[in-house]
Amino acid sequence: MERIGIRQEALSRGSVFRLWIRRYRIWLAGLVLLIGLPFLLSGIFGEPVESGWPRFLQGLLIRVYLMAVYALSYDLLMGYTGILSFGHALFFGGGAYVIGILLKHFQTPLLVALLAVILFALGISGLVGALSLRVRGVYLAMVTLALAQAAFILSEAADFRQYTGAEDGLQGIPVPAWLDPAEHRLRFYYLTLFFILGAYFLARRLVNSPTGRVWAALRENEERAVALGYSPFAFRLLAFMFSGMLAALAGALNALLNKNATPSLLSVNTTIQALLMTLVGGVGTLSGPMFGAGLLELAGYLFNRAFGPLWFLLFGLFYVIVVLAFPHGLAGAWQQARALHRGPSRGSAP
Amino acid sequence: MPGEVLLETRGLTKDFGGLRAVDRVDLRVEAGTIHALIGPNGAGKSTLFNLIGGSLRPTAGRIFYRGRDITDLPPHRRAHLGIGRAYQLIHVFPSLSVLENVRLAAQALGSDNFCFWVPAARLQRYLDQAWAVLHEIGMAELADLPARALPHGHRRWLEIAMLLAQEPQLMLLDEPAAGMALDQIPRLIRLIEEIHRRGGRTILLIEHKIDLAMRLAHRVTVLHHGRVLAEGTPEEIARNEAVQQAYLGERAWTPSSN
Repeated sequence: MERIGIRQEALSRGSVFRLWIRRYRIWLAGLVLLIGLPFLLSGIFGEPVESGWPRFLQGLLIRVYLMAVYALSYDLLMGYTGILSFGHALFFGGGAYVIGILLKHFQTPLLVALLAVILFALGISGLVGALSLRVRGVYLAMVTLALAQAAFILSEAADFRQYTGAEDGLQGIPVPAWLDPAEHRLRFYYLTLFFILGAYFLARRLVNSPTGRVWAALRENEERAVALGYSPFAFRLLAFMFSGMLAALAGALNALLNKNATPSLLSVNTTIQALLMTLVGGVGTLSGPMFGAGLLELAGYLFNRAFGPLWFLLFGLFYVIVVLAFPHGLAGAWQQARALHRGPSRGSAP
Repeated sequence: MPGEVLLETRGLTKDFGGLRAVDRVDLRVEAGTIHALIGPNGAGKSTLFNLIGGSLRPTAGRIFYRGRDITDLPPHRRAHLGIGRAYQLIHVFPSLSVLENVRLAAQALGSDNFCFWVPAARLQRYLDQAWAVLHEIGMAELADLPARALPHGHRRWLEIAMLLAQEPQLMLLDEPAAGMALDQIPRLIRLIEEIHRRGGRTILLIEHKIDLAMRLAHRVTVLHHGRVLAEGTPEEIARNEAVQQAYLGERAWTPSSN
């Protein structure tokens, strides 16, 4: 990375731009494809964009994008900072409940509600971080799990039924008409596409920043990082807060999509989902977990359609096969394939 | 200023369960000197280093740096005061590049650690510092290698490069020559002497190769069973009978063994 940065200085602006295009051409092509996809699907199925199959598949893609951001946020913690949190559902589900309660019971304007979600997420992830970062490894996982379980139990508590709907969940969240995913799915599709891009660039920017480099240093060798002068707590807390913020926003948009927020969003299952998507996609690669989210969401849907009630069992088998076949995740397999394609002379980092 | 005591320990003691690893050690390291800690295996040298670096808390006693009591400061705060450390075991960030390892060392003491919105590659100062150190130490062509892929003989140099990038006032070197090929050692001596001259740095080093320690150091402290057995110039230490005794059964040092 650094060497490329230095080479670029010797080049003119125009050629830098061309280099940039060439370097990211696969990504740019993918982006164009995603922007055009609703219309492409409409052409393939011969149906209008806002109805039938195209509409249904947009819904599926929206779900993929939201889970991709959720997985991305988990990778910031696990892959880049080396924090194994078992409480990520707290952020995702928390975001869903905060926006749901604000829209339904307080008639808050949408933008204000989203801002509130961000503030809530920064606060709660700061709190979870402050409490859990006193311990390491498995113990940290247990502390975060306990906090998330507390939120799960709270969401099912009958005492707050009028706000949370208790075990039924918060149903019928009023989404502003202009963004209602039932009425304007295409708009919602582009909103979430914009969201996933923004989240990815934010995360990329973070991990390449001085702060992000320290995250990597702490992951690699905490004792050494401390001896160099880095205080681990402050950096890890920051990682928690960014990760929590992205997860909560994904959860909030998910609540807008489904118009509900249920206790299951806060359950251990939701955390495990983040873990699986990250592992399948490739730990510590940012883009890998996003593809992992896509694979698991789409495969989950297909398995559900094809096998009915048995699907969860077979899906587990599918997961095992994927992990055995790609021990370094999809991203790892991709890098290996590219290294092979380039031939041994170019090679790749071991 | 010569004669000023940069680092001082008073009655420093560390117990591990029933074992007293460091026993009431009073150490005075004068500014601008090279001070060697020697002693047989298990004498408590590394424990003493861990106490000074801050990764271990003493059972009793105090540590002063420039007259300030640093006994209760966490290790990262000590780094900011100018205490840098190179480890005996290779202790780097294995999957990061050599350049990034050194750059992180340079960045640690700067004020940009929380600029999470700026790409690290754009903070030219730390990159320049890292490149300068890598050139000085002759590792520039290895800059892109992940640290774990470094040839074994070079890993020690990376440790030293990271230390240099921080320009600490007090350098703690834990067996800098350990695992180093014999033909590299003269280069190491030259480098340590040059670091010392430049900016009048103070170096506290543990060295198992006694002849190396004797050649480099202005002052030598001998530890034995966690206690200070003797302290003095290399010549005084070489003549000291208690020291000779302590080393019997290991490897006797004589002035001619150079």
